[in-house]
Amino acid sequence: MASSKKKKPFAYLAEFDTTPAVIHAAEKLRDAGYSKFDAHTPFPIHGMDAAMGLSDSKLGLLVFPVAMAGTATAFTMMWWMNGIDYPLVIGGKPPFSLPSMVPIMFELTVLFSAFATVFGMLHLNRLPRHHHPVFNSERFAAATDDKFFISVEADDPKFDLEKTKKVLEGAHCTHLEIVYDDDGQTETIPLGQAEA
Amino acid sequence: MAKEQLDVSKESFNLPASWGNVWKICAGLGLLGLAGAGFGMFSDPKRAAFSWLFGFYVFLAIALGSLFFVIVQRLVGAHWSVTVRRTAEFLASGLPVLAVLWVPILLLAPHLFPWLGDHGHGGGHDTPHVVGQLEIVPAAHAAQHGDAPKPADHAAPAKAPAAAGGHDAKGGSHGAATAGDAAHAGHGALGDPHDLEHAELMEKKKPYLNKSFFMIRAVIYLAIWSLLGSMFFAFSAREDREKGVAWTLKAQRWAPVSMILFAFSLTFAAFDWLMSLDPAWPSTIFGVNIFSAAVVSALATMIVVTMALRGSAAYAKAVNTEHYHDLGKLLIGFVCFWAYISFSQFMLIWYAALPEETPFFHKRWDVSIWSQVSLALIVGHFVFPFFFLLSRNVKRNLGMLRLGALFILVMHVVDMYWFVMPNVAYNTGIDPNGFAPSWMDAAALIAVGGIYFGFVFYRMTKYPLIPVGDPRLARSLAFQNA
Repeated sequence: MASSKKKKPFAYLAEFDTTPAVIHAAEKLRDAGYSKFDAHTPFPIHGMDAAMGLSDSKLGLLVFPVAMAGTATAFTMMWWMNGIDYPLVIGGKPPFSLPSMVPIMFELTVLFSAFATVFGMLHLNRLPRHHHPVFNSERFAAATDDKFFISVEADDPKFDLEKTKKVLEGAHCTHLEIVYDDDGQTETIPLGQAEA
Repeated sequence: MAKEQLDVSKESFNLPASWGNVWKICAGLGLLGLAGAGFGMFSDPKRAAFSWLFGFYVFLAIALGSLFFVIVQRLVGAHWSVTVRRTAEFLASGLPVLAVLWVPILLLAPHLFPWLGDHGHGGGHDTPHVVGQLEIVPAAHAAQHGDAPKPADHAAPAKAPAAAGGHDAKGGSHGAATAGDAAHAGHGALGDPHDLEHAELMEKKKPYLNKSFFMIRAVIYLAIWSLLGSMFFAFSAREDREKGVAWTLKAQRWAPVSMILFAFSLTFAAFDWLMSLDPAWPSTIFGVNIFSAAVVSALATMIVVTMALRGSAAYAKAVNTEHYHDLGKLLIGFVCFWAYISFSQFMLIWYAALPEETPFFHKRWDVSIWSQVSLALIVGHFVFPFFFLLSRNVKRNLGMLRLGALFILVMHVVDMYWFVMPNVAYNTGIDPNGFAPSWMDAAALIAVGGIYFGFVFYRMTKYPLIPVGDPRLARSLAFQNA
C-alpha cells in the first residue's frame, strides 16, 4: 500500500457478479453513511435508487419554472406582436385574442420544458464530461456487458482507505481496485487481506 | 425498497364486513331518487327528461371509462394494473343496469330531441325540420302552446304577445318570433333564408336522425356495452376460480375488437344522445370529447373507490402507493387530454365562426350565467387539477390524491350538466332564463348513481376485490415505479 500513499486516490472500484450482490453492497454503503458513491450496471436495476438512498430527482423543480417561463414567453410575445406592435385583423378577430394564443402558449411550454428536461438532466449528471477516472480501469468495460460496479469516491466524508475497503469486502465484491485521477493508473487491492 | 411479499393464497380479498351493507344504502338512496325523479317525470316531464339524461350520462361516463380501462389493460397485457383492474371491472359490469336506466330517456325522448318532431306538444304545429337550434324561443314558444308554466313570469311582458303574433303570421315557422328573444339572449337574429337553410339541413339529416334508426342504434350501443362489461368481468371472475392463463388469453384476444366496438359505440351514442339535443350543430370531435370526460371520471372513481376499500389490510397492501401513483399519472394525463380536446373543439369553432357551429358556445357563454359555469370548468376541470396533480409527491400521497379525485368527480358532474342543460331553454320552452337548476337534477343524479353503485357494491360482496387468479397478479403486487 506504500505506492498508493503518494498519489491521491479518486475512488474505490468494486466489482460484483450479480444484481442482488450489487444492490446489497449499495445498501451497505448507504447504511454506513456514504453518499458519494455510484453504481455502474449494464441495465437499470429496479430498487437501486432506494438501495443507494437517492432522493427524488430534482429535475422537476427545474423543469416546472422553465415550463411556466415558456408559457409566459409565448403570451408576452403574442401580446406584444399581435396586440401592440403590429396589430392585424385576422378572421375578424380582435388583434389581441386569447384563444388564438393558447396553441402557441402550449407549444412553447412543451418546447421549454423539453429543453429544460434534457439540458437539466445533463447538468445534474455533470455532463458533458470527456473523461471519468473510472474508465482508467480496464475491467470497467465490463460494466456495459456482464459485471456490476460500485465506485466509492475519495471525496466522500466517510471515505477511508481501510474502512471503506472493509465495507466493500464485507459486501463480497469479487474484485477491488483503487482508481487514480491524475495519470490514468489503477491499483488492484488484494481481497481478503484487510485484516492482515 | 424491500417490501414484504403478500401471500395471495393466505389472504382474503373479500369486501370488508363493514362494507357489506353499503350496497343497500346506495340502492335505498337510488330508489328514493327514483321516486323523486319519477314524480318529476309525471309532473314536469319536459324538465325531468333533461335531468335524467344528465344523471344518466354522469354515471354512463364513469362506467364506459372503466370499460375502456379494462379493455386497454387487456389489450396491452399490462401487469402493473392487475389489482386495480378488478375495480374497473366492477364499475364496467354495471353497464347492464345503465342499459335499463336508459329506458326513461327513450320514453322522454320527444321532450329532449327536437328532431323527433312531435316535441311533446301533441299539437303538431312543428314539422320536425323546423324545430331546431335557435328559433325556438322559450317565451314565444310557450305562449303559443300555452303549456309551459307562466312564461310571462320570466319573459318581458311585451315580448310574449309580439312573439306569438309573429308566430301566427308566419304560420308555423318561428323565424320572426325569435328575433326579439334571440337578440335578447345574445344571438344574432335569424331571418327567413336561415330558416330555409336550416330546414334543408334537417331534411338532409333525416336518414340518420329518425325515430326508428335512433332506437336501433341505441339498442346496439347498450347491447355492446352490456355485453363487453359483463364479458370482461366474467373472464376475470372465472380466472379467480380456475387459475391458469386461459381466461387472460381469451380476454387478450377479445380486446382489439372490443376496443373498436367501444370506440364507435361511445362516439355515436354521444352524437345521438348529447349532440343531437341541438340537431343542427355538428362537431366531429364530440365523441372524443365525451370519451375524454369518461376516462377522467372513471380514473377518479377508481381512485376514490379503491381508497375507500383500504380498510382491509390485505387489500391496502395489494393496491398500494405504486398503483395510486400510476392511476394519478393517468388521471393528470387524461385531464390534459380533456382540456386539449375541449379546447380543440372550441378553437376551431371560434376561429371559423360559422353560423351553424357557434350556437353551441353561444348557449354556454352568452346566456345567463353559463359563462361562469364554462369558466369554472376551465379552472376546475383543467387548471386546478393539472397543477394540483403535477407533483409526484401529491400523486403518492393518498389523502391528497383522493382529494384531487373527489374534486375532479365534482367537476365531472358539472361537465355533464354543461353538456346537457343549456339545451333546456331552447328545446322545451321552459327555463327561459337559460339557467335554472331543478331539484329533479339532484333526484336523477341520486337515482342513477344510487342504483348503479348499489349494483356495483352488491357485486363486490360476491367476488374478490382483486383478481386472485390472474397470472400477472404477482408482478402487479411487486410493482414499483422506478
